[in-house]
Amino acid sequence: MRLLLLEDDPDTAEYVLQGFREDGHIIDHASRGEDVIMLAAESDYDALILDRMVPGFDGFRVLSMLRAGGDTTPAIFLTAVSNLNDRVEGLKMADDYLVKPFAFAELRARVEAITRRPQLRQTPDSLSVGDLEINLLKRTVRRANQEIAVLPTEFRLLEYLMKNKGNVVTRTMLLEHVWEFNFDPKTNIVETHISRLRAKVDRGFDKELIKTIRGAGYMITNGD
Amino acid sequence: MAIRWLKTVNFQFAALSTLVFTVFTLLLSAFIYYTVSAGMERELRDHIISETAQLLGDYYDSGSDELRHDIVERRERAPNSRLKYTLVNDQGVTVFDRIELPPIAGWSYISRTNAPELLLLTTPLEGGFRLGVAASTRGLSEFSGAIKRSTGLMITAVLFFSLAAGAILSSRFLKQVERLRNITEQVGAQSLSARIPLLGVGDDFEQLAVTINKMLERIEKLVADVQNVSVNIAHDMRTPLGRLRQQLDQLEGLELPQEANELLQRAICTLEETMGTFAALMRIAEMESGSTGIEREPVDLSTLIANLHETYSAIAEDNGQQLSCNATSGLVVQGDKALITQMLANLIENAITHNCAGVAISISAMGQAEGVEVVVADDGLGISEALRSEVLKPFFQVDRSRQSRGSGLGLSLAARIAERHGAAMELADNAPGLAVRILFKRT
Repeated sequence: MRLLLLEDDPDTAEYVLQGFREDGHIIDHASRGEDVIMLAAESDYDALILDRMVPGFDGFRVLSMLRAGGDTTPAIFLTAVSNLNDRVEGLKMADDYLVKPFAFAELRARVEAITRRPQLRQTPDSLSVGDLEINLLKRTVRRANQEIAVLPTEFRLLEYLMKNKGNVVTRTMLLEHVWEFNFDPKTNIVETHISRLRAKVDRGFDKELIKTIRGAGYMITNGD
Repeated sequence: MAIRWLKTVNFQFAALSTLVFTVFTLLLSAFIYYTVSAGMERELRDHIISETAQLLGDYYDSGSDELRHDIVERRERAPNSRLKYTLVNDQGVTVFDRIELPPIAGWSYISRTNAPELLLLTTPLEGGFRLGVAASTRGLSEFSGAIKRSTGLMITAVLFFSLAAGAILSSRFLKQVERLRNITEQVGAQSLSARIPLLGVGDDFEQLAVTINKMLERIEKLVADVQNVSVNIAHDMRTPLGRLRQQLDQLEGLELPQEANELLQRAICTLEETMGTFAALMRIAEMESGSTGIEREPVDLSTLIANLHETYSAIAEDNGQQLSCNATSGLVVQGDKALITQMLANLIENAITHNCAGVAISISAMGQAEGVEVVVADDGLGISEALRSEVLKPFFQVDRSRQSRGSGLGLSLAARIAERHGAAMELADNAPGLAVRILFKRT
């Protein structure tokens, strides 16, 4: 992937740049908003990672200028400001919104998720991973042609994992998309529901599809 | 409004001054009446005395025949004279004007029908005869009538004008007070940018309004400053905490001995807890400042509660607790879905984390006359009445030892979110346990 980062804090920038480079991506860096507009015009990026508060044109202004110019590159805001209005405003324009401090694994998972999004525009009726299949209209789950009864929350959890199959989804991504929680709950709701879902979907089958990725999150995949 | 102006200071002042003025007018009228009428009566008596003296002079000089002659002459000379003459003999026969003389000599008043009283001087003569000279008090009674009429008129006029002035002043006063009240209420309802409109009349109220406006400006500026400070704190804290997170993260990627790895995982957990507390505090500050408007959208409360029930049933079950739900379907409230979710999740988590195994927790919601009521209740330890208002303050924990997880911000944040939705949140005794009620008022 080719990525562009707008970040004025050198340490954070270094951390993000190093992380993506180690993953084998190409990532450019700008510390001023004006530079982003120039760079975005020159090259075709797969995603923009924009800090909300930088000197000069801030991330918000930069993205609104790019969007006004017809640029639809997926974008994610990084911000130290976590108030509600800011979040709502941010999500009107960007595809995701991540509050600092964040773990690199969180940012990586989110960048991967937003770059994948266009392929999902045409919503299919069913999704499958290996011998596991879910029907989005009938809200049913089958594995190896065996019907599995799941609760609505478990279905939404499975649906989100399967829409991102082969990619890591983090705990906060699950909280935001499955539970619509934009706060950190005191109890382990993600862990609890993942383990219940596993008990229904994976237990008793020869292959485990839902995997825990240490220090990052979860992933559903048929591979190893 | 019709009764309220009667209670204003202006009206009370007007009423008091009217009362004082009325009393003075009455006293003055009485004084004038008594001085003037006493003078008039004295004049009348002098007139009667001099007439009687003349008649008596003639009587003593020339006898009763001359007296009669004299009286006849006087009556003929002035037929419309105010004076009346009576002569009564020892048999009680009355001559001239028919006035019944009293048995005792001296001054007396004779009342008559359809005419003013007579002032009479009776003088005894020789041989059982009595002479009476009387004058009509018409002038006096006319004067007294005039005084009464003018006093009455004056008081009526004063009463009318002062009441009217009082009413006008009071309603003007009330209108001004209403203006001040509206603005201050608006400010109370969290719009710090409201100002009292000035009419440019420069009266006391306007001066008060100018002062209040200045005060509001200052408050607004202070609040904005505080917000800037918190945004800056947030920024300045998050950046180094972010670096710390990154450094721990990079450490995680290295080959570490088992023990170091465990310590590292604990450090990451602690940092995340700190960030959680920080986020909750920022959200409380955000709710309290009232600076950020919240969404006002219809929120399907029944579905939201059903989802939360499903989510937290699993957690409660793992804790050996039971979570039940009893919500009427189709309940809709106006508000911010994300915030209402956070508020209810906080209340449920609070019930789960602060109670031991075996406790039953219930979520219920139903439509009522005043609005929609949501109750999160448990049959656990509960909170004593004295502490119920305390627990809504940030960082308060019933268990001071802080062994239970959580920052003590959950209830406090929930209360502020409720407040921002104009919903009343109260803690009640569930006998046993705690019941938290939230009433979303019908708008």
